[in-house]
Amino acid sequence: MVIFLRIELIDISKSFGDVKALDHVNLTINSGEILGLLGENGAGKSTLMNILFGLYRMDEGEIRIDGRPARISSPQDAISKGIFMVHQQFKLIPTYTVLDNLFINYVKGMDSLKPRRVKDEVRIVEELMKSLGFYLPLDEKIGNLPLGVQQRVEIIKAFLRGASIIILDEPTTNLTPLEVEELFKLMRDLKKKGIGFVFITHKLREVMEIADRVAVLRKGRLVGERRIHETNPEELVEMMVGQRIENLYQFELKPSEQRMEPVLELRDVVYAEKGILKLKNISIRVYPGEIYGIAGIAGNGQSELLNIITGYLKPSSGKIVFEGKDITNTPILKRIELGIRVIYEDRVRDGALPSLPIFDNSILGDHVFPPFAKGKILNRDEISARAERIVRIFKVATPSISKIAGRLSGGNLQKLMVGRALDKQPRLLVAYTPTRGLDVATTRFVLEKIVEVRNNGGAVIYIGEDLDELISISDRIGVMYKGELMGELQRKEFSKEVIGKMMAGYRLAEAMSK
Amino acid sequence: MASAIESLLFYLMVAFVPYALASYGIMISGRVGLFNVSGEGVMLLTASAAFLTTYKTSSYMLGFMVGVGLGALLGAIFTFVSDKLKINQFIVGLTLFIFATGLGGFLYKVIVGVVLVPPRVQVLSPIKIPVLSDIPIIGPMLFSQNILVYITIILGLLFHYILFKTHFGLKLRAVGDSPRVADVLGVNVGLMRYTFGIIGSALMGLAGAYLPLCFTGTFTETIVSGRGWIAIAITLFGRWNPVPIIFGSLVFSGVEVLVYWLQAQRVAVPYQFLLMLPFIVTLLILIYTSRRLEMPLSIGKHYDREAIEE
Ligand SMILES: Nc1ncnc2c1ncn2[C@@H]1O[C@H](COP(=O)(O)OP(=O)(O)OP(=O)(O)O)[C@@H](O)[C@H]1O
Ligand SMILES: [Mg+2]
Repeated sequence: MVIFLRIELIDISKSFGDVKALDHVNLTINSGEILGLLGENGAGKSTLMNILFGLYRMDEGEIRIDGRPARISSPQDAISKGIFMVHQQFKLIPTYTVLDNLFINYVKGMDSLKPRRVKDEVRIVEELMKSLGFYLPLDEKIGNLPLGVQQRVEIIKAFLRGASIIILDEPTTNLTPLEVEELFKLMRDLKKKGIGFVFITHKLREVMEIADRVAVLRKGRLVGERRIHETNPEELVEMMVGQRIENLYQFELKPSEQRMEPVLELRDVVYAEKGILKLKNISIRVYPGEIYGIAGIAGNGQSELLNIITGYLKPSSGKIVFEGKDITNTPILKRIELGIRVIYEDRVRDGALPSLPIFDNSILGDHVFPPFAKGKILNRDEISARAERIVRIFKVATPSISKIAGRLSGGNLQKLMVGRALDKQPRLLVAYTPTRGLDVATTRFVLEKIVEVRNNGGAVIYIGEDLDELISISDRIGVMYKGELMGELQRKEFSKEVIGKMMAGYRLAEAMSK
Repeated sequence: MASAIESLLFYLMVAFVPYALASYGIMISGRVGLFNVSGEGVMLLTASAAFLTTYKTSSYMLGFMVGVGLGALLGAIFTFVSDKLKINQFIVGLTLFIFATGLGGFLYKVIVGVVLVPPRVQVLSPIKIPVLSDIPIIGPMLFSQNILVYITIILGLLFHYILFKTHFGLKLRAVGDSPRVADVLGVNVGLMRYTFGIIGSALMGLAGAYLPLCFTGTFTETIVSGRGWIAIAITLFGRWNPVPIIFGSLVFSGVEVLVYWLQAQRVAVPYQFLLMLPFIVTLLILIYTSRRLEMPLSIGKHYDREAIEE
């Protein structure tokens, strides 16, 4: 049975260089309870939890467990006391099997030199999984599994080690809506067994759904704690941001003008990779002054669609027309010159060069065009001016533009990526979940900026997973399923239910009638 | 003829030991994330020190202990400088190589000086295993060898068992593949790195000591003749796994014995070309394996708990 724990964090402070990440924070965590932890990007949520997990050292403060002072100076200490943390970047080795990942450092001391009893290990894990009602392929390599499954490996890892408190740092960021539901079910089941959770997220809806209690951090300070049924999203936003934000999901969409020529037209685009059809006869038209939303669960062809538009992938058949010209065979840089801007799905893999400074990253893609380049020579003044502008307008938190981009916090790097795409009004903007990992206020800000592109006459393709966002800013929404467009809805027809069904594979007509 | 083959096979195993031991050393350090390229130098220093010790004291035990001890010390320095002071592992390894090579030659010159007839020690005598050593051909090859041959084979199998059949091995590999994952699961990454950084280099020291004490009976400045570098190739070629390393080492000792045999046969090939042979084999093997090179995932990287992940 799970041991009951009551953890008190008392007056915890922590600085990184000049940055005061935590300033005398007090917080109580209990097993058998789900504590939501909210706060803007950089508020100190991860830092606080890393201190509890023994990964970071606190400058000041004390941790008490069941009233007694506890020394936690390494993850080893934390694990032995029943605390486990699942980081946003999973701590799994992709080339190892699920079973190996589960059992790293599970057996200690002299026993660890005895032959492994793999059969017994499998039995233990299978019993655990049975009691939780799900199944993991234990012989599969981690790298071959979707993120949702990897997360379960992490949670089983915690459970296997007898954790009473499991910390989940932004566990839903990379999950599909279905996976989020499954995670919540698992959390509820484990809660019934007496396990407590600290649940970090930026999505208020999720906190309202799953948490029993919620604590809010702002700029390293605890601003408040509430029981969940004593609060509401508006109040929580106010606590996080420090001011009221009315109508989080309302935007001013200027009525668009008469339909002119489309900015982008995809005609029967087919894309196959290694004989597998990834895009099936996609036809889309996007007009100036319009946001075309693309809904769908990740992995249904959205990445391929984005890469076909940027020119990174070539369609197997079909045509791409941009402002009346066929660009099917036009190379990437030429398309950028035409005014196609992109916010990539994976900012670190595709969007940025993490080892280069901010100023270089702020012109990637435009680096061969004036005014940033004259022939082969880069113009440093223009580059700096642009970087400074992006940092100012998009409030990228950084001491200087010569800081290495990889050292920015995730949210701030994302703001840089958005700023780069929007610095010059694009003719066509393709954005793939540009608000991933951003806090409430920043999400609102980024969405406003994208709506601004639309209101200024630009065309936008917005690929998203969050239906609230899609519905709030799109003029039309197309739903993708297994590489196919299941249908298109006009703004006045938007309904979460219908879109949800289409995301699960129903065509528009079927989804409407059921 | 039979006795000629017997003797070639016997020497195949004698020459096998230094390759295998040095490769184990590189492999086991690499498995905790340390790429130690100083082997060539470590071997020269320990060959020199072990030879001088045994020459002066007539104790083989003492000679081996000095070799292993010096190897361990250099391993401790390597781990400290690269892990604690965060200096690039290749730079540290190359620096130690140069330092140890110089020191090895220097020690010999100081203690022995320049002499017409270099001093010699008797090479360690074989231990015959009763009955088995009488089997023709494989008897002398496998069961009538000096003790280090037996130890080397057993060590390889032991490494294989520990790395792939035990929880300790899983933990050890995890440190080299992802120190962060290991750390988060409560592994003492620093301790593991020191332990196996030291053990790895101690094995190179043992390989160095072996050369004069079991192989040549004398010390010259060319005694290591590239084995420390070739061991790196063997490790890469064996993908950091003990059993393939045993086979890789046999390939190179085979080439070595072949060169020796060709020389003895007075074939009309220039001597210098024969000496190039091991390096040509290295080159070919590396060209072949480099296409599917496998390394411990975090080898060569520092680990800092509080650094932001990349
Ligand atoms: N390892 C580190 N080194 C230097 N600074 C850090 C480190 N970790 C966090 N910081 C800084 O400390 C502050 C708090 O960061 P933290 O990661 O705890 O925020 P967070 O609330 O988890 O934000 P997010 O929602 O973006 O994940 C930020 O200013 C961040 O830049
Ligand atoms: Mg965080």
